[in-house]
Amino acid sequence: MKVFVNDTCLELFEGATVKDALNKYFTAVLKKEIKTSGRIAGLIVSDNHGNRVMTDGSLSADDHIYVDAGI
Amino acid sequence: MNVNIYRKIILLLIAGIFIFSACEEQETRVIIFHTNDSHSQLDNYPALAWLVNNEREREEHVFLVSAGDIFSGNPVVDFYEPRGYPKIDLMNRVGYNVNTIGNHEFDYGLEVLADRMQQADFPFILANLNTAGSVLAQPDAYTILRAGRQRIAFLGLVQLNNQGIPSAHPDNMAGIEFFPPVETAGEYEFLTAKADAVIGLTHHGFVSDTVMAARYPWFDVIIGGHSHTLTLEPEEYNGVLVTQAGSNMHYIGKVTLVFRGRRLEEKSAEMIRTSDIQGSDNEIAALVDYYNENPVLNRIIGRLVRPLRNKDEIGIFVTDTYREYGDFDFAFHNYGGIRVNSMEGDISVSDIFRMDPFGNELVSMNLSYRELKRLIGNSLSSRNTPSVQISGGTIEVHLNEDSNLNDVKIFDLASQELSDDRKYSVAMPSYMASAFDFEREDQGTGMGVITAEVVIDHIEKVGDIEVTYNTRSRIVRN
Repeated sequence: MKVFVNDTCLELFEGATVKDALNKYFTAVLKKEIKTSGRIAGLIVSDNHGNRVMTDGSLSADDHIYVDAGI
Repeated sequence: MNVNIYRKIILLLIAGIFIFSACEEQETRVIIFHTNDSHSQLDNYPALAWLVNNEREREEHVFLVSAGDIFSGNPVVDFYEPRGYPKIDLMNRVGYNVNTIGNHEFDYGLEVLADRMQQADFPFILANLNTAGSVLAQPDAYTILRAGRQRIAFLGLVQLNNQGIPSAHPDNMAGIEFFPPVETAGEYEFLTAKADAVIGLTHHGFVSDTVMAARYPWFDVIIGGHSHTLTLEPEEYNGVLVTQAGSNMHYIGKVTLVFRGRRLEEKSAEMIRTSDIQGSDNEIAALVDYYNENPVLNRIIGRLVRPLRNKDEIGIFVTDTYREYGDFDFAFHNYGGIRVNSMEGDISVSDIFRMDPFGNELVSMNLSYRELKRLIGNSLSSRNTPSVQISGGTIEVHLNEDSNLNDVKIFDLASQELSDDRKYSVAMPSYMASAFDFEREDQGTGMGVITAEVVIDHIEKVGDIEVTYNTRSRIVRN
């Protein structure tokens, strides 16, 4: 399924969570290796309504999430 | 005489009308606390119990509801025997009024779900399914709670994935037919005639909640789940108040409804950070301690006949269990996801969670030989060794004379190089499926089970584990 992180389109497996999207965004798109899962879990992520979403939240196709990429 | 009687009757009637009108316009406040996606967590129940009990002392009509996904995420609950029992026990004691069936309610299988629904003192509701072909009794689509003269309807809905089922292992929902949640909601407009307020108690994500609000303005409030959205300042969409309280009970949602007569005149929502709650219920805290100290996690589930001396050998063991789990052609696990350096002797549930603590889901996909080569080739270590263990075959990394990658070859169990003419079924942890960058057609599907649980199930079935160690990858210098 397609989801968008900081408006970048990513292809993810069906059933992926916010954490999976961030893993892909940081490692595959930004080429930043995240050494511990705790760092991903601690990120502030929001949706396109301005609400916070937890990193263990489930994603649906075409969801948009936003995160500070300066991890 | 008769005239006086008439006058008295008329005066009494007028007084009655006034009294009746006053009753009709009487203000009724209803407080609804809500949680969603609590995922087997127990530790926040003492604070929640204190909060709710405190409110019940001040307010006449206080409800506590859950928008689904009460299970999966804490081995204390998920591996308790019977599975999930502590969660329902605590929800009963705290006084939940209703829970919507989320996708993770199916994780333990239908028979366990039926047992937990039987254990619960509150209903599990869900509208968009038909359980006639399964062992699960058909749950009610909605429930109506009474707050004095007011009736408040709660309608349950769950998300469906691209296979038309909630995101959980398909085997755990065998025989159940599911229907699209938003379309199903449209069949329940009649609730507006049966109740003074209609609340969607949904588990299909915030975006779907806003879609539902746009389509059905007859909902008064939607209390959601699934996307773990935290609406710190809940807003109305098309006049429908939409709210969701994050996950794991770090926040408790609170909806306030104010009725005048039978009319809902005001509605508002807020979030309460659990760590800000000033009190704790001692009885509930003692019970949480009891469950947390329960020795279930230290239960011995099997024994390693021969020690696993390093991550390579542990990787062989876990990838073999993944491959067997779904009868896959190949399975992979990244060495970085193995957090112990050796394992030996008796194995407990805790040992497996120490070895694999990340809660990654097992993901299946169909890959061509070319795509499998990309998976291996793009994830080589700085020394050009594979960073993953394989089950179902062996890997050869071919380097040129400058130690640069020349080719990757993969061989099956019969030592035959894979074919370009077919696709291979493959399993891997969700971390690899997302963080490993390799171009492919099939992005995969989560199997609704975490990798640690696959290993635990395997050990419980087999008992004595004998891992045959064989080198599964080698470097060839051309």
